Amino acid sequence: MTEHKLEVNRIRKQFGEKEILSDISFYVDEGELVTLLGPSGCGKSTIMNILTGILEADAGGIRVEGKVGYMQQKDLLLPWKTCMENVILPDLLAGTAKAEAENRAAPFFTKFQLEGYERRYPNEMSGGMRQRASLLRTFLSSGDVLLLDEPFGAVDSITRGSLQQWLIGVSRELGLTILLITHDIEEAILLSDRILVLSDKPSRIRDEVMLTPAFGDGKKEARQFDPVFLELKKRILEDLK
Amino acid sequence: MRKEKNSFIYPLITILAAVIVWEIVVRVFKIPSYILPGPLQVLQAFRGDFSLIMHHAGATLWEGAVGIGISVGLSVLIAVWMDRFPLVKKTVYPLLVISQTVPVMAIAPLLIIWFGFGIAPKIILVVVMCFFPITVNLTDGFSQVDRDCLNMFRVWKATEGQIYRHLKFPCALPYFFSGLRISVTWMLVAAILSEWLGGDRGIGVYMLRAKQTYALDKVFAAVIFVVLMSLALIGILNLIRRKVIYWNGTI
Ligand SMILES: Nc1ncnc2c1ncn2[C@@H]1O[C@H](COP(=O)(O)OP(=O)(O)OP(=O)(O)O)[C@@H](O)[C@H]1O
Ligand SMILES: [Mg+2]
Repeated sequence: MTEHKLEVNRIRKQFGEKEILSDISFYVDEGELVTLLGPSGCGKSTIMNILTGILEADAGGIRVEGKVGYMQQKDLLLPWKTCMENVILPDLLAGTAKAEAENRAAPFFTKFQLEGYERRYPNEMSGGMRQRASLLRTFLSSGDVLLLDEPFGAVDSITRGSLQQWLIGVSRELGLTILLITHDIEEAILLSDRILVLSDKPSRIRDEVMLTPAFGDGKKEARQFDPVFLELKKRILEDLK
Repeated sequence: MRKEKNSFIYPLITILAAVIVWEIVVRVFKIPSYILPGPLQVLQAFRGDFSLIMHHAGATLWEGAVGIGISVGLSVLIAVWMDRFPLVKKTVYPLLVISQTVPVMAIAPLLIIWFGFGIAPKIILVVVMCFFPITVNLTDGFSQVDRDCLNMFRVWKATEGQIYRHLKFPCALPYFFSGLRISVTWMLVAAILSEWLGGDRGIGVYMLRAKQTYALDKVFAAVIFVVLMSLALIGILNLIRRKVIYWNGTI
């Protein structure tokens, strides 16, 4: 058996008296996109905060291979830095020279549909662009594991649709390993290889939905028109009851 | 911007009207100039003493500038110190607040007794009055920094220095300038008060000498000049603020 890229082993977390996570275990393999789906407040962000070391679990263990990139619920772009300065910031903090960091980032501006905006400030960018800039920063700061906390939660539904299509393409092309959080069932079915359905707090993993076998070899872009889509949606809705 | 310009007009008209009424009252009631000189007479006094007033104003501005410079440095040190160590903040912050209830009128003469009639007691008084607003605003600015953003920097393994440089200082700049604006208006008041109590150069000295010879027109000329200087300083500060805070929006 090969090593998992990321592994969570029986973690628990309590805030004061309130138990939020009770016995959560899962893994993510190389090149996979795994989604954590669950009701608001069930502790999804808490799991990612534990994975990145912002919080510590009360019990259990985590193992992450290589450097992870973390994108939080807000885009957290710094308004006093240009798009380029924002995306190379993690590299600069790690001691890379500015010119070198810019050279490394430059080729990705096209792929992330940000070309021409290198010297613009965040307030001059649309919501979708800001999300892609934040994603690019996350990507550049990671080895190849990305933790994305509701990356498209703050944008309108039309923009969200195109961002989802774009993410499918980019992650396939760059071979990204992604752990994604959402509370949008359709987004989860569209993007994921596997969905982990969480219960309300104290949360545990209710169900694991394998999507690749369910949809066959077809491209993810075509999933929304497949009859299986509705069946899966129904199953997940049942899980969340 | 437009709104700001328009709002200048109302106080300006009011002041103009007051000046006209002032001149009329002085003329109609034939008030002697050792009690209340009219605006035109004040203007003449200003013209006659122009180079002398400039000479004294230069000294006052210099004391103020040095004092503000020291205040800014001191404020940054104290604010960062309090931000780094919560215990320090809990201890020092209340002390700073209490220190502000000490009447300045009472310390000013003491400073002269301790430090003589030179420039030192003037600069110290400016610092005493001016460092507080900057320190408090800067401290508030640091505590307003977005939690999630701070966590992000920790995930990126940024050093404390990097966090201040890339996140906390830019975040706190608007607060810093609010504090600085208050300090700049107090800076001349502090310097003049100190000069008034003893010294041989400065607008305060000029005013004191004019008052002692009952040349109230000169006193008024000096007072009005100080007001104009304060306004000019605030104007310059606003320009600098606009240059320094070049961005829009928040995190
Ligand atoms: N630092 C903290 N201290 C105390 N309680 C916390 C803390 N962080 C989160 N919580 C609580 O833990 C629960 C889970 O929070 P979390 O942010 O992980 O939820 P979430 O699943 O990401 O929700 P959402 O979908 O709304 O983002 C919430 O009830 C929240 O109030
Ligand atoms: Mg969350």
